[in-house]
Amino acid sequence: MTKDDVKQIVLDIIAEIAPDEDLSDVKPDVRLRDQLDLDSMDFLDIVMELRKQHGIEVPEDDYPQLASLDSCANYLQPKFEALNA
Amino acid sequence: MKRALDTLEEADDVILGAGFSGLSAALRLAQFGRKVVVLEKHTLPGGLNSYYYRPGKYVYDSGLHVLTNRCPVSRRWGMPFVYRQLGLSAEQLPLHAPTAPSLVRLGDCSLETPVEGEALLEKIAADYPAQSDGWRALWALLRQDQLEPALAATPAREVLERYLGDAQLIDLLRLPVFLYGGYSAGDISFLIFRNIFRSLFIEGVGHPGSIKPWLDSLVSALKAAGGEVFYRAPVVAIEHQDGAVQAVRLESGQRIRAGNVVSSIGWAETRRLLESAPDDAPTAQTACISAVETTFCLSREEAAQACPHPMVFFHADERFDWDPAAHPFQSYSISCAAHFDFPEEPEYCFFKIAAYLGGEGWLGLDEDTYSEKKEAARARLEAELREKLPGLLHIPDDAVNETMTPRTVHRYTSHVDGAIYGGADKSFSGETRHRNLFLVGNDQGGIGVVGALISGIVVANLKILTGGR
Ligand SMILES: Cc1cc2nc3c(=O)[nH]c(=O)nc-3n(C[C@H](O)[C@H](O)[C@H](O)COP(=O)(O)OP(=O)(O)OC[C@H]3O[C@@H](n4cnc5c(N)ncnc54)[C@H](O)[C@@H]3O)c2cc1C
Repeated sequence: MTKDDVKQIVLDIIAEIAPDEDLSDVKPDVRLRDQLDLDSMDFLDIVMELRKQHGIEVPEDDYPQLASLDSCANYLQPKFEALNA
Repeated sequence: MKRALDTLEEADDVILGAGFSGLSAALRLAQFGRKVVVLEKHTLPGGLNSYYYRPGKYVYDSGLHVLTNRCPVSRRWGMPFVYRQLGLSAEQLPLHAPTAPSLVRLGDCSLETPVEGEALLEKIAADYPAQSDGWRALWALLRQDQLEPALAATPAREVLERYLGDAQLIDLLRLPVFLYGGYSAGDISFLIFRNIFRSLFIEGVGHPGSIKPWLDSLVSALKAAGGEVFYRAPVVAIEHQDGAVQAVRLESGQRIRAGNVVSSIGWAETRRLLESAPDDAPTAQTACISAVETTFCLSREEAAQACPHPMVFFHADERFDWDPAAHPFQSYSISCAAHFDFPEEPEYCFFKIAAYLGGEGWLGLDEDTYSEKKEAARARLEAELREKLPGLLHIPDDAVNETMTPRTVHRYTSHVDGAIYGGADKSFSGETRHRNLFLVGNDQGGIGVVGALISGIVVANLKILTGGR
């Protein structure tokens, strides 16, 4: 699974959580919160969907790793790889 | 018989009470893989909005006139928020739309409130042309997701008076909101006013048919997520040290260690369980708001004849002042389940009449005195409504019915003086003086069933799952 795949997974989850947001131009290196109308509850939902849809656990201490698409990809890619191994 | 509870030693989160706020907090926390235990005193879930059985296979809803927040306005509010955050669907927590307008009646003055929120906006704008601009601006404010903290804490009347110059219109708007969640005499904060107004009129009322499927959905989702609920498990003490709670104790003496305690039993009620915590001694309680209610179990046709509206919010005086303890039998909430669009024809429909009063003076009576007091209240409730709303209501003479009083509320929920909207003191943040003890439900400001569900979710999210981050 490539980092782009991971970013797409995260974007798909955000699209479900916040259907009104325009996700066509999300900058990967900018904090998601700074470019989209997402609050801390929405980030919890991302964590929840990763768990439900993909079996990925994100412990509370690692929530800051989900700040931007790039940081999501860096943090989640090894987790997806471990799952698929 | 040995229960799984007997061997339970600890949990990440111990939830006090299996009402709507306790169940929703528990479900949200369990879905994140935490070890969650709900301890409930009663034998059934639901708390203030539970159910009970009567011969003839009737399932009575205690509470439940109508539910709220039927039409989505925003993903951060009401049912869309509840469904998504709890991972439940509209099939699991159904809400059916009214088929007729509701009625707000202040003395002889009436306001019919249409089923759709926007229709109410336009109706009032047309009925009160001089108030139209202020009214539209107020509506926009009431519809907004975010409220500035200073405005949220302002007394509701003060805010309404900034937008509206018509005392009668202000009273007509306050009346249903206070009947539905006026937790203290006089006034309530604009935050709660906004929450209730929006829930009732902008998103609109709805009916689930019966509350039992809602509770069944919540409890089975909780179990599926690994959470546990134990009934007949009253907590009698919360142990704490150095500003943190450590364990709860059951009546049996059993001790369960807790990472966090989330209490839905009320703030004053929770303080009583905190041993030797002088800072948390119960504050002087103002008179609690409670009700006497009679529920008639009717055929749909009979119910429709008894009352032509899904809801009637009635205050007998021309001016609306909210102090049910000082002026009992002045405000009435009436509901009729005949006027909802159920997918299947219901076997029976409830017609409910309730009068608001103070809860004091109903506890500690001997059985005979209580029976007399209850009978007198039941008779007065019917007589006043027959006299004051002739032609509108047709209260049946000989139908199957049940009456509840503040004592009933106290017996099944343990709320001080049978309070139905909690105490006058609220902790809107859900925080207490103990860093891992949180409040949910009525005393966090989550009033009504949907309000309680939202309260459980929000406190779980902000105080536990994100650890205040
Ligand atoms: C007559 C009436 C009519 C109502 N009508 C409506 C309506 O039409 N629509 C609507 O939306 N809302 C209505 N409400 C309000 C609604 O029921 C409440 O706002 C909501 O249910 C509150 O939920 P909660 O979780 O905050 O508290 P509760 O439901 O009170 O839950 C608290 C739970 O804690 C348990 N408990 C207490 N002490 C202990 C202890 N020491 N150990 C363990 N467990 C304990 C109680 O048994 C209870 O189950 C009505 C209420 C009443 C009484």
